[in-house]
Amino acid sequence: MFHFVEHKADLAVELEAKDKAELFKTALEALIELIIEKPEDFENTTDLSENLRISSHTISIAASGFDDEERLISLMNEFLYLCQVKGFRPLYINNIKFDDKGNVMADLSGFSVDSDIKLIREIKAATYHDVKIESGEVWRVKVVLDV
Amino acid sequence: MKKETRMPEAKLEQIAPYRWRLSQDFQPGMNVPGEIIASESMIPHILSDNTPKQVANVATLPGIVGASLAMPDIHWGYGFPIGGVAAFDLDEGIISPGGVGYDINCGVSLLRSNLTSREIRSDIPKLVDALFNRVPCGVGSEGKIKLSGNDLTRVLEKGARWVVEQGLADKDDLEFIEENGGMTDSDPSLVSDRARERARKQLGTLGSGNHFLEIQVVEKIFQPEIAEAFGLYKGQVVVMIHSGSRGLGHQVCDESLKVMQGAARKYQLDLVDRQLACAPFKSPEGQDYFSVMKCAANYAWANRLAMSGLVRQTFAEYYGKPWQSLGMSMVWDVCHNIASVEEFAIDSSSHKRKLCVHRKGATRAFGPGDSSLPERYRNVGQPVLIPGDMGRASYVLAGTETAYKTTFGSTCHGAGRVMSRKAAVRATQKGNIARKLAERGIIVRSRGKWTLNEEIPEAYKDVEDVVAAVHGAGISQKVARLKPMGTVKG
Repeated sequence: MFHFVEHKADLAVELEAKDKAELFKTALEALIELIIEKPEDFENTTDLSENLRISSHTISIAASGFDDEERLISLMNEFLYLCQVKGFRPLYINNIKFDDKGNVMADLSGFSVDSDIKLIREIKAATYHDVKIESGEVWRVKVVLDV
Repeated sequence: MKKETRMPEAKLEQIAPYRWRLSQDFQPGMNVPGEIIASESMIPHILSDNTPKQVANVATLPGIVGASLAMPDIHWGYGFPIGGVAAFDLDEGIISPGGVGYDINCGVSLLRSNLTSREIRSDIPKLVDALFNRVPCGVGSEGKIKLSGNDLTRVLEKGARWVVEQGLADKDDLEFIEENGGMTDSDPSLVSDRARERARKQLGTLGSGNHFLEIQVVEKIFQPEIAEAFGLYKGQVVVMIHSGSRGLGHQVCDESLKVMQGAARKYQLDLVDRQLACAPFKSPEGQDYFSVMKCAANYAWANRLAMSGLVRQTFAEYYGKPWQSLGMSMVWDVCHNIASVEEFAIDSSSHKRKLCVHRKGATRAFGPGDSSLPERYRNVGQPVLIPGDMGRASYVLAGTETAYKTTFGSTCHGAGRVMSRKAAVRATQKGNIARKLAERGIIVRSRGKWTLNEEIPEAYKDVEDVVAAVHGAGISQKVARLKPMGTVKG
């Protein structure tokens, strides 16, 4: 679950999940919501959604860091690089994995830049501002984005 | 007479007109006090924005000298506040990518002309369309200049000079750009492949967000003598460009912040906010960041000068005359996101020290007599370009000796947002912004779906209030007010 918190110049996203992997997945889903213009009726049409899933292709991204906060911010920025520089237009986050070397990997399904799926907003970066992951029954974090 | 304003979390003491002190005991670990330049009416808003806390956070960084400063356009930012100025001792102090920001050398340039608003008012819609079509803008926009690897290296080394060497601008322009359009000792070999990749197709592009290109008219002159030195007069048409280092700067900052997370641990720097991540100025990490930051700054100067060339071409084609005969020379180019080594005397001492001055959303404002200024401006101080919003006004100010003594030669950088982007969109969804502005005589073209809604004038502080505060504090003085006639947004 995520929701956006407005700041005057920038934007923050508050994330909540049942575990760490879901927290990281939710962070990327929040970015999709912010920067990708999905096809009309995407949310309401199961058939369309399924068709898109079948015709999409998958890309994996990875990030490392000293701690979970650094890994999260690095993964989000890796995701932004993939979308804003490499032109990938992800619609789904399929899988989040962690290895024992402190790396996090995410599998994304989506489309190439020449599809009808557009980038509607530029986000400069996910920032480290006051970032602190709370763990427990519910995992929470707030990430400030530089827009 | 001293006044005090108490809020739940911050106490500001007025120490002079428009100058407010945040006591060093406001927060544990502050090495210096904070100081905010603002009018009394701005203070409640500043306090409600939690920015004094960010001013205090910056004051905890090692080697900070004088005070952690904030300009009147201060608003909440990640890590350092937007509108923040902080100077650090070169031996004891740090350098921080968060103190510069993601858009390294975001800044403003201003071209004058010998056209008047009366002459060209009816041309504005076509001119704005022509500029909109010629100057690439919008999310991820790419330009017509495709840089080879070697060319990009030269841009990162030479900055605006490279643009002149390609015949895209005039060599005389360089004299009227801060640092002559290029910081020395940049090392392009430290710029990552990713940063280079982002840079290769974006030279000469405006970008999105609050960046703009605007045809303006000089509406009012406040200081005729200084305006004359700047080549400005009432009724004159000028063109302002607001942009920065594009994706290159974002990439450099992002990568450097990650390096600095490790550096802060390595040098045992106790940070109150990870976005303040930094390294000792003279450490390898500090020097590497300073070098790549210079590369990005040089790219930004080249970017704005390349766009100046596109503006000149557009006007020249439209009027069928060379741009030189339209008088479209450079007034000045300022950056407002930068770290720079400069010399200042601290605490009324006559002894000058070299300091690493961070300006994040703040503009250099050197006064009369500064040897780094071109001869034309040396007796009056440097031009300071303050972009406002697309509905009201922008300003040309002049730097002062007071700025040199009190704010490390710095002043404000713009109007500063008072409304979030989303709130601005909500407030305007039923209105046609372009039509409303056209009814006020301002022609606007925008690439982005929501850009005009996000950038409505009401989303910003009135630049009049911000400029009145810096003028009142004496850290710059009003020279000319510029009114928008036509605006291109990303």
